[in-house]
Amino acid sequence: MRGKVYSVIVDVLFLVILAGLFYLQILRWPLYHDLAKKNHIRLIPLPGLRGTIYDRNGLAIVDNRLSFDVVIIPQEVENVDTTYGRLSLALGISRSRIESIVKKDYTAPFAPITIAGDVDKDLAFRLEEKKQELPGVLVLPRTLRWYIYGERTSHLIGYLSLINKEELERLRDYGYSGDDLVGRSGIERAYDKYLKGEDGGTQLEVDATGKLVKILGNKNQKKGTDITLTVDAKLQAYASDCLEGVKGSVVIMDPRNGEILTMASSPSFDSNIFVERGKGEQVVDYMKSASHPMLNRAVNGQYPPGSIFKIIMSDAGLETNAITEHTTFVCPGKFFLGRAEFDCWKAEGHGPQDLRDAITHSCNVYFYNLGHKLGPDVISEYAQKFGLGKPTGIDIGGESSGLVPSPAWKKAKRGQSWYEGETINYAIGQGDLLVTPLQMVEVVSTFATEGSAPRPHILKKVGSSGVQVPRPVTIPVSKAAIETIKSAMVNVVASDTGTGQRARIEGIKVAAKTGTAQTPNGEPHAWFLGFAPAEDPKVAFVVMVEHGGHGGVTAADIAKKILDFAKDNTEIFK
Amino acid sequence: MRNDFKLKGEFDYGLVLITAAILVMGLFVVYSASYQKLVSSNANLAMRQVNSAMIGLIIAAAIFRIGYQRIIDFSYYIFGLNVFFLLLVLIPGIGDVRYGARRWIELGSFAFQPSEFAKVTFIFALAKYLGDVKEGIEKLKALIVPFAMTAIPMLLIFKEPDLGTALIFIPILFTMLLIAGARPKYLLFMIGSGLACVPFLWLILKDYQRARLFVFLNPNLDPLGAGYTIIQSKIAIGSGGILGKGWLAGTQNQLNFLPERHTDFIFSVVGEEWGFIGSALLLFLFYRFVDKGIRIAETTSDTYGKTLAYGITTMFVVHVIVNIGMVCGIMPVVGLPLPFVSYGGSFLIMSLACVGILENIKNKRKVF
Repeated sequence: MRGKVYSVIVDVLFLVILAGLFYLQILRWPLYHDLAKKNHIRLIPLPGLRGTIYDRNGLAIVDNRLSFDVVIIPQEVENVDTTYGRLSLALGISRSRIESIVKKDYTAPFAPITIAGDVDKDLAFRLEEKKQELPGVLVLPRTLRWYIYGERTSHLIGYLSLINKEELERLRDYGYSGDDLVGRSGIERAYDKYLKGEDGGTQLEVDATGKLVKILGNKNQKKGTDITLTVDAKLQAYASDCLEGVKGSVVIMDPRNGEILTMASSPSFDSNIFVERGKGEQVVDYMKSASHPMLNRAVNGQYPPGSIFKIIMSDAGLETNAITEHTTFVCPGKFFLGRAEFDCWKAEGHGPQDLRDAITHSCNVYFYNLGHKLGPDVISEYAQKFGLGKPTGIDIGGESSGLVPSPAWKKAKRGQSWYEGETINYAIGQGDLLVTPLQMVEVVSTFATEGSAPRPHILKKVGSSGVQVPRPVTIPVSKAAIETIKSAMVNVVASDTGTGQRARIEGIKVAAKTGTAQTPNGEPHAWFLGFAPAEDPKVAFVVMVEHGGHGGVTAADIAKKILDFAKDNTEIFK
Repeated sequence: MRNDFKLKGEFDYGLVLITAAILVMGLFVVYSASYQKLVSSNANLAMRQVNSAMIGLIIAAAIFRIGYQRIIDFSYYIFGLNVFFLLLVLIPGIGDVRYGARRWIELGSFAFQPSEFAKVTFIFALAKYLGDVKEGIEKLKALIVPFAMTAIPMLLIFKEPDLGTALIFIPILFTMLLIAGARPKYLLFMIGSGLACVPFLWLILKDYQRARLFVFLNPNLDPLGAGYTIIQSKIAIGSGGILGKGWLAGTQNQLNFLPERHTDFIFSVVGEEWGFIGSALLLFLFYRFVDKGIRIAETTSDTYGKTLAYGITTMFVVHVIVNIGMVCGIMPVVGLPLPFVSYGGSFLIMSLACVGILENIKNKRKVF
């Protein structure tokens, strides 16, 4: 009895399914037949080009170039053997490599598989001519982001990579999609919203075998907005070349308005690698390299400033009336604090030095005395007044803050008391004090303009309209104090006993200060900063070489080369 | 006492033939579902399915030789071991996560799903219990053990999560209880109180399971997400028409519109490429298969064998009805494979072993 009931239930269930199949496949066949046909419509995306990036003189720094990819459309290949054989011959890659690419990238019969990306133009044309003989093999044009200056602008410009999931969530409403490239650093990231193009697409109808029947619709892609930078591409490229083989950076800024003329960092990377296919290994090499080529040392390198800090010390001394320009300390080559001994870089001593002498000769003992008089709180107050310890606010962002120590900071961060000896080191820019090259160019600009601190920026124009630049910040300084220091900085280069005399430029008076910052390991860092022409400053510059030895030699030599180049090959001094 | 009777060596050739027919048809469909021009790696899915079928055949023959009665004797231990494996699967590091669910255990290069085997070991254990208590099953308290035996593997499988396999325990349990002689009014009461728990069940469903239920009610809710598979599958089946588009010629299938088409959605390939004729034929073969199962069960007087045969048959019925129902859009997508057709080793081996058990029940039945 119960078995009968069970049989009936089973019969009913099977009948219901049969009825369902009858309904779907016979009664509703016309509808589903149509729907299956409509499934043959596909969308081929046309990515929108990114805007071109120009330098201040209208030279293209970053552009787009046409590249050619060789692809296979699996469905359309007729003879697999001859196709693979001839492709292998033409492209110079092995058959098994082609097979493994196809296997790896296969998604659907109609979806193109890229066998070789960015092939030689001649080869692309030759393959295109033989199209009839090799069905299923296509040469597809693709535009690639082209970083014309390669490694020489990478930190400044940044690079692109595929948008990640989290960014996509955030940016979807702004028209971003899953396979968009987005700026990852530098200008490409900061001004992505201008540079990004608008994607278009073509709607195609393919037949049941995946072959093209006709084009149904087309939406043109739109190029992003071109932008113009404050950078001088030639000077940027030259400065980058000057850093070849060393670790360090060069920043050159117009002190009057904060326009960055050059920002170079070494070692560098090639932004082009990130947009070319099959260069993943090199990207990994960059990421793993012990010399950190991806690091923009101009904004993220944090170093002790060494003697270049003495210009801030001098201003602090003069403004607090701890010294006058005529105050003299005798340098016997050593300074004693209790039983502790602090050396001047010149072991035999500089003898009696006034402030100008002390800056010109970079006499440590003078500044030990001054620092001892001022105390750490006054020193850190003046360091902060000139903008140290916080980002400059440059438009590419991602800056490091550096560090301005003080007894209160030490108590809070390390729970330790400040030692008097630290003040002595502090006075010559050593100890915990850390600065970035960009911060120092900001400092020296404030000296050049006698108290008007420009806001560093790189963007000059979007499209054809100039951008609103924040006004320089006025820093209350004593003109007399600044003028004294400036005259001493001129002596650093002009005087035959000056530490920066190697940076003399014919016809241009350079004001500068050298720095040789001691490091716990290895050679000291070499610094050289200044501005020129001294009487009417048009450029403020910082050259920093990690473990470069004497600032007056390594860094000053690079500065001289760059300033000479700027004078002869650019409009900057005109 | 069970073995005292003289046994007549009957063998159901029809059942074997039907199974073979479904299996061969299935191999062709798996081949088509995994066939892609230029890419050979997927085409060997059909070959691997053949390998699994071989293993399944050997196991079926072994079970036939051993005899279900001897397995019944050990069925509690086997069931216990299976439950232990279900626990193991849930331990991270042992259970292998695929498609967001933790269902597999890897043994060397061989991965298997304990939940597939749990269905059969559960049926054996329940058959032993029912055979042991005999008429005692009419009492209400005799139902406690069967329900506990069902709840344990169900909850563990539910946790994996594998909703379809977890739910299949329920119809099997009720069928076997009913056949063994439990009182319908008790069973109705159980079903009633079970339904009362549904709102609580809703709370423990995973988001994707809830989405699937919503989308079952209205696939157009999410045409490119959860509803995509159902819509594409209906288009595939519906566009097959009477005669179908031909083997390897289904555009929905060959142009990759159908996800999971070699596993749970394999029937949509049958519908598209073989049309109503092909799908009705396959459905008929399943109907005959189930019919054979019921006959074997009905002609067996041994309670162990009878409940066992009903349990196995019910399992096949649910798999077939739910699977084809879901690809046609008349049942929610719960992920139950189609026996002998869907690609997947564990389930194929288990299904073939079940055929061996059915044959053995027929073979060992008492002759009047």
